Amino acid sequence: MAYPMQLGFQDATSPIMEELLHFHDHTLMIVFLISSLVLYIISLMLTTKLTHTSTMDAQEVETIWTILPAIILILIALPSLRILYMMDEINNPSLTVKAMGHQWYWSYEYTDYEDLSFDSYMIPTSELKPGELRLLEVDNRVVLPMEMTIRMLVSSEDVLHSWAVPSLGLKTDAIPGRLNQTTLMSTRPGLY
Amino acid sequence: MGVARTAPGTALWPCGRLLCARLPPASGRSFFRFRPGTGVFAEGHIELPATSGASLGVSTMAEDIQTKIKNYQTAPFDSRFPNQNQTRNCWQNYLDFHRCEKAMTAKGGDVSVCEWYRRVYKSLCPISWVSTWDDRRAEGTFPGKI
Repeated sequence: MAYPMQLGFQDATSPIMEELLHFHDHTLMIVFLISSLVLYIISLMLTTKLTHTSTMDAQEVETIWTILPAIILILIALPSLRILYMMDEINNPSLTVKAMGHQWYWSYEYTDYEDLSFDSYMIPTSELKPGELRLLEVDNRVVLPMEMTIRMLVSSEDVLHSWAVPSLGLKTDAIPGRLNQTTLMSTRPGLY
Repeated sequence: MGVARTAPGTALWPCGRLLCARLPPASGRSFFRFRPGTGVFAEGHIELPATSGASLGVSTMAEDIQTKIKNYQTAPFDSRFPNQNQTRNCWQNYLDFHRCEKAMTAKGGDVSVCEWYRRVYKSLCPISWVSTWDDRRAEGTFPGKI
């Protein structure tokens, strides 16, 4: 769940989100290294009295700064593709839940056995009880079993919406007339 | 049972798992390590009976249709619709159920064999879509061929 003054991602609740967190750490480290290198070089350039006005031969350094970025890009692309394929693995869900977007509430349908459906409206800020989460509390929460692969089918009854749960690493657009599937697996109980 | 995933931390520095990255799918490091129905659940959660391969929601061995329907949990993976857009999956199963039902009643056969399609379309299709389609079938304006 989000907390005040949060800077980074929420704690991961699904294995895919854990992978994404590590990938983000890895890529951000590369970004910081490159940025600090560039910043350092700029500061060196700005604080020197040396000049060199004739044409220079720069074959070697040009080769390095072509090959090295290519290697860095590969080092970013490989884990990225690994996670992409991991998200696409075939899994057999044990439960299907449909999230239908309306203006402006969600309705959830559990129809594997009986037809269970309900609306989920946000609690307005003026009606929140102390300790409740602003803009996040709802009157009827979606309750899902943990440690089970769940198929979420997201769609809309009117305009475009999007259904997201940050700690599970999920965001799926709700498009009228289209049924978008995403898979969910929570490793621990809690409110997300 | 603990969460069995390794915590690589900063994997590249120095790298271990990065160099093991594999491009094609079906990597050994499967996300779906948690087999439904076999896990240990915290108190107060529902545990589904995990008595056979059918508990995975799909039959991995040759099972007759009645057992499959009896052990039905949810619509299994359908390789005809492997991607994110499952609209056609819902539509196809709705059509298949009604075609099966029409054919069986026409021939005087047992409609219970169509039950599989009914369960699948009920799992997948939004309730509002189903009721719209049912109304259109009743009016004779349903666009699908049944």
